[in-house]
Amino acid sequence: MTNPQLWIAVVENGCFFALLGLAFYFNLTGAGFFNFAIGAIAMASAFVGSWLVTEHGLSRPVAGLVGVLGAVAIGVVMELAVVRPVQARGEGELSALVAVGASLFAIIQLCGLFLGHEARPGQPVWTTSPFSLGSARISSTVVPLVVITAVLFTAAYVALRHTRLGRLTRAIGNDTEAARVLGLPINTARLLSFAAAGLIAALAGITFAGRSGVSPDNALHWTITGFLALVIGGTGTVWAPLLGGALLALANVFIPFYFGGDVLAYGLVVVAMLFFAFRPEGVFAPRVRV
Amino acid sequence: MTIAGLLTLTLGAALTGCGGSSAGDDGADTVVIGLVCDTTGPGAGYATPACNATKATIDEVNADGGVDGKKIKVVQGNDESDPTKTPTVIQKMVSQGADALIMLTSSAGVLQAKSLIERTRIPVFMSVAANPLVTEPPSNTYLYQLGTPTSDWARVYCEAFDSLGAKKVAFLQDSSPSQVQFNQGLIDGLDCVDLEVVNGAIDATDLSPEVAKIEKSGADAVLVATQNANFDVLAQNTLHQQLPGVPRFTELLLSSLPSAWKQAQPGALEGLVGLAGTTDTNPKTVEVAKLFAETEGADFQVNNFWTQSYDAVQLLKQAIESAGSTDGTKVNDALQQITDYEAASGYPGFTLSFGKDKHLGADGICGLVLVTWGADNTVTGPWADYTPDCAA
Repeated sequence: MTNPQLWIAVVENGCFFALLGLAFYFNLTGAGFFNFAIGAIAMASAFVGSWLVTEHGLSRPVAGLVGVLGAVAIGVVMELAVVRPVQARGEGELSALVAVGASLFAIIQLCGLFLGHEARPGQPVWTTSPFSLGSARISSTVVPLVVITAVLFTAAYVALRHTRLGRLTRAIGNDTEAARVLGLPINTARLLSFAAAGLIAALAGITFAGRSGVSPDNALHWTITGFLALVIGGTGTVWAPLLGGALLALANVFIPFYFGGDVLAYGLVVVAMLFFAFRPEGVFAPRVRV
Repeated sequence: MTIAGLLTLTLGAALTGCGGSSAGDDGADTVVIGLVCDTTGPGAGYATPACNATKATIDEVNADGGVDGKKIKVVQGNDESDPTKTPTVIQKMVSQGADALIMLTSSAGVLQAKSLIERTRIPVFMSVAANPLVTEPPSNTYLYQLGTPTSDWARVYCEAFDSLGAKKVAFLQDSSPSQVQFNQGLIDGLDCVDLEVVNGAIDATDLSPEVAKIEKSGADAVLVATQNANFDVLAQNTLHQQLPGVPRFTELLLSSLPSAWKQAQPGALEGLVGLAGTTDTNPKTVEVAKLFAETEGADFQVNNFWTQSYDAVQLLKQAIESAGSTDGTKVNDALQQITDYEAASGYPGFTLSFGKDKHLGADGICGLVLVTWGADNTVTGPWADYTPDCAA
């Protein structure tokens, strides 16, 4: 564990996992709902952005903007066209989750159908020149990922804790029925949470894809990764996905190093099962006032 | 007739091989080729160009008058490299009248379907596969491969390592079951060096731990062994960054996928040496490349997926014409008479031959070309340090 290069990998992966976890957190906080399409939204924004750059000659900033706006639009459409109608019919959370799971696969297939299943090069909007830090090499995507993670987590904290809309969103997520009785704008808050989750997922996907590209095959893995970051970190604070992402990245880096890459999947299953069994609320559990 | 009855008849016909023989009626005015293209599964990287090449060659054959005056009709399927789906896809194609099959999918699926293929009694080409287990007995009567087997890859790598003086080599492979199985023959053949096998998850987001292990092992060279382009690019990015002085080799996929080169970070492929199947020193390769460029555009770059797919169709055409029939057994017998077919792949002089006990077409190791990449992440040409010998 003394190899600094491995710790750089922990930081880089941890930031990505944490951002995906934060997207999950926003959906959970604002809508009380696990949006299992997060990984597909992150993939689609990076994939479409790459297609616009490589096939249509758009500049990276413009393609990135299209990718982000598209991700926000997907989030909004999912709430309006998938989750809300299912829940309105009184079919419960399970039906809505199944519908969102189907949306994940629909996004994957649509990307493959219209843009091809082959991987595309990542087109991050912002990169730095690779440089050395001691004996470690810092690749072009590390600094942008760290900065974007810091900015988004800080913005999320301020928005949810120190703005009226943020407090409203948390109140609705905590107890939707009570919020409905009180006449709070539930639909608006839910819509915003889906849009914010799409925005965060898009920025994560576009930036991380700069490492070695993106393909529709990434979507499911990214969804599971973000979900695990939230499961491990918990939902008690906006910073929880950051800790969850960091712990998950530690496992992703050091399990292969000490036990081999073929053990990684089993190792992650063990970590997840331990949390489900002994700490299902994650490291940071929500505090309940009695 | 009920649906269940129809299903029973169709399945029964496929399992007993009746579908193949009835489809092979001499009086039919078309030759039906079943084409399994894994264009949406893990093999999409190689199956997509190979599928395009096969269909383009068939179009060319049809435009040139067909096979003995009969047009070739394609029925297409996709098993997504999922071995559990392969038998169903094969059965469906046989029920659709396929006279021969071209399988552009994982060898794992075909290995599981070998006994079924034996019963269908129609020739089956694995145009771009390299797993020699596919064409080994039992149940190999109708199975053929054009690609060079992994045992030949090992011979070429050994010569290349020797030319560099590399004694200890790290073998970085993705740990998917099909890849591990595929690589076993290669690993067995690399007994010329002290091999350190390092596994990485196929969907890994980072290969820093694996590269750190390689660095710790003190390897003189690294061979990345995967059929997954994403894994290969991630590995090359990481190796280039963290082990810049260590010579790097890769398998056959990356050289054939120019689209994947763009995924690599700037300069990450510089100095990489990879297996390829084509060189413009072979006049037949140049001729075939010109043919495909007519439909694929001026930017088209030929590789072994295209040339081997071209050869597979031409060999089937030759066998059917020689047999004077589309009957599977007769075509198979005719295929086994083909020797010294001048291949569109490899160095000049590379040939393909088949026989009752020779189902791997390659005659020698000069079907393999070692190429290297430049600073702009594109292949600059054959690697200067070693050239496989056609006489070896």
